[in-house]
Amino acid sequence: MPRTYEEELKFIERIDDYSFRIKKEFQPNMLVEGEFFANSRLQYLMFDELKNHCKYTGQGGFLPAVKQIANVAALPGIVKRSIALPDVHSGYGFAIGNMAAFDMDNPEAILSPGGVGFDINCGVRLLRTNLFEKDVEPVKEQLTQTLFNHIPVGVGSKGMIPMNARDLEEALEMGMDWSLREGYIWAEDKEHCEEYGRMLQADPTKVSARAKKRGLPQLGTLGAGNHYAEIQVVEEIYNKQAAKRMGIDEAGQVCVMIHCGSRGLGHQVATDALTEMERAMKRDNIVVNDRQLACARINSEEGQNYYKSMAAAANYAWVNRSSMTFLCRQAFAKIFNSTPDDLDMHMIYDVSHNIAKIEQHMLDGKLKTLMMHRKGATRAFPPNHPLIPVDYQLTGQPVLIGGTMGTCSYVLTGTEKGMERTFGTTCHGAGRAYSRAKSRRNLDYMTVLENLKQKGISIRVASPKLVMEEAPESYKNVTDVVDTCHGAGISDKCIKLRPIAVIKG
Amino acid sequence: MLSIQRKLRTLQYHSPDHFSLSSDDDVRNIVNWLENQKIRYYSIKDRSVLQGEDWKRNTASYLKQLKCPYGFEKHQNAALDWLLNYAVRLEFADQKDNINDQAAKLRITEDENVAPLDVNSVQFKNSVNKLREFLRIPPHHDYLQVLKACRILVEKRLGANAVKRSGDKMTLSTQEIGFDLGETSLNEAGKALRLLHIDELRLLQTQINEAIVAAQSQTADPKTDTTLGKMFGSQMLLSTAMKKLMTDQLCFAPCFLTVFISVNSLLQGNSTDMISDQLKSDLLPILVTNWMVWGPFQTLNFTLIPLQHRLLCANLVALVWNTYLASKANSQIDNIDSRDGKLLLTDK
Repeated sequence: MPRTYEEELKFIERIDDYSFRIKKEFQPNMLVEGEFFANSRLQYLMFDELKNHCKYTGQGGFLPAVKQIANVAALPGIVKRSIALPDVHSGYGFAIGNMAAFDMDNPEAILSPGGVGFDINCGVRLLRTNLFEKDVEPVKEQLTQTLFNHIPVGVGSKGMIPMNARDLEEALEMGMDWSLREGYIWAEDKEHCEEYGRMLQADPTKVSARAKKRGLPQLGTLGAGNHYAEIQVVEEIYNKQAAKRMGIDEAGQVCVMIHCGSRGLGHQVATDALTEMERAMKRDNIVVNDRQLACARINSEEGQNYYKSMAAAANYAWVNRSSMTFLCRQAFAKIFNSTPDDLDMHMIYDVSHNIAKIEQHMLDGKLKTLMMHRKGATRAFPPNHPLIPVDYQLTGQPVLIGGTMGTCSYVLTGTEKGMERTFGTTCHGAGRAYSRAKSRRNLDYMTVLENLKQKGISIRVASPKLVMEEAPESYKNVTDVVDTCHGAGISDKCIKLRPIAVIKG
Repeated sequence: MLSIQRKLRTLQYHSPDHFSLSSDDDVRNIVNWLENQKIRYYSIKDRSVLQGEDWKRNTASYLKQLKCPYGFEKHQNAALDWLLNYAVRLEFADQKDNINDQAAKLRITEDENVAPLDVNSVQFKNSVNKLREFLRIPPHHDYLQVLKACRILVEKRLGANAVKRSGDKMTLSTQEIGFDLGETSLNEAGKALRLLHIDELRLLQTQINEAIVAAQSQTADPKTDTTLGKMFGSQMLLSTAMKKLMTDQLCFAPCFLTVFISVNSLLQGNSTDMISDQLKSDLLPILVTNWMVWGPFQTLNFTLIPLQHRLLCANLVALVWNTYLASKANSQIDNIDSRDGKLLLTDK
């Protein structure tokens, strides 16, 4: 007999103004507690989703996010808590916006493709320029068109950078080092990238031929879905010193944000791993609450295969973003009749928000090696952490939060408190409020485009009829999400950016 | 007294160090010398009044005529000083260019003087110490080290780049250290060490980047292939389509048609003379028809039709076109036959 909404609520209690605890009895076999961050407006969405689920049980695609967080807390080897960031919404297996750490020393600890997501190493990259809004305004339409011509978008689009099968193998193994070697990016770009743009564990031989076939023509393309390239201007600076370290001196400065992932290759790697892991689960008697949470022990063959192929897909995503960085710099250089160097088009940072990584953290005063799953969650390391670039040693790692189309984006910095509370993790974006299907039903693409036009945003979309899936109305308010993170202290606000041109799949 | 001596020396007075302002004789000698050598206000015969018994009174009226603001009787020293200044001014006006030249030469020789500086002299040590105090560098027993520290500080903090960056000042107290040593002074020291470490890391990272850039110059060869990209109707696209069209119609078509006509004729067993004849008469009309058919079609093909369908479309048009060419070639045979007849006739 399923519990009623009122009964469910007994297992959720408030910790402070910005966070809630999910008790161990909420779902069966929970090993640790769950925790989610939300302010008054965001919590309403969370509870409403649960309420609907109780009312119409068994309907709809995914379980509500609260249930998914609790199910993750029941996976073997999990430590501390299953933590959800304010932008959490339900996804395949793990909720998107969920962070879970598994103890590498525990032989039962697992690795799950659902905890990474299908778009492996989907992430955001931010380039700065020395241009100001007034420099860009007269050529905005031209610039948008040139960017659109340079960056192939949409389902089935093909990249402009010639690649053969051997290049792809090398790119999978070397990540951004490949782009560096071929001269598509600058040495400083590698310095300002998470993991220095290369997962050393990557093994291209573990990536299936089918995945490679899908990935080869797509390298250097933006893809569809929520991926975009935006020209943005700095609207507000909250932390002058940190902004200065990033090369942002004053409001009005123009930046370019690129949000994309590993395209079809990453999707295929995840699909391949899921089928393989179902077998492993039967063999090793791993019991989970939800079939979608397919997983394998980290040290099993399947676990290792997945980790190596995921690392290769992550490398692919970095190469992909690097190729687009190159194309973007070319487009700007062409329009402003200058060189990318003279335009100071340096990369501020590159974060990934769909990835699993081995990291070392302090847990109850002891140093632990953990398998960190971050799905729709961004790494946010505090100042003085050895793994962040030397330029950001005093400010903390920049965290790039891509907002929804036409609203705004943020740059945050990591904090010491976030390191203690969430293993240095914070939100990744706005987070969906309505499913794709629901937004298609409720919104009209003409009005969505018209709204953007009225805000003075130039827009180029490959498939305009899908634009309502990405309309600001379908998402949570990114400002609420960021304010919750700031209020809870897991990351600090640094810069606010406003888009003036959008390119979308 | 000192300033008067200095001025006298400047004016090259014969004994600037041996005189007393309290001695009337000395003062009288100075005034006389100034008037005789430098000022020359009175005519030569009138100057004697400054030497006689009444010299004091006469000097007073002399000064009044020069518009000296000080009375000679009451403020003898001030008046004398004024007179000296007056003389110096006149002297300078006379020898302005000369003096400036000398000064310029002097400046150059000063620079040369830096080289044989005695670093062991007490004066040098004291100067270094003063500089150190001024720059607020902690003391050190080896003054050469201190000088080095001064140089580094001046270069890093007062250079053009540093002044430009002076906006981003950071205070030690606002920095987080990441650990606590339990004592304020130790924490301060820890912070300082951490900052120094970051500076070293930055240097290392810069060197790594330089190495990468050096390696890149050997390996880098970024390529883009615009035909691979999916492009939509834009001005740039039209221009590339026109370029493709021009290449096709101006280079490829004439060559192809020439070869086609020649080979066709050759296979029919015609001689080279006849082939060249045929080319002369038929190539141009066929080429014009070619442009009329293929020109508009290829424009459409390069702009509207996606890359993967272009060949198919071109082949469909080519089917019709080849039929036309074949019929043209056959009709040419008739033409040639009849012309052959004519040619034979005229030959005869």
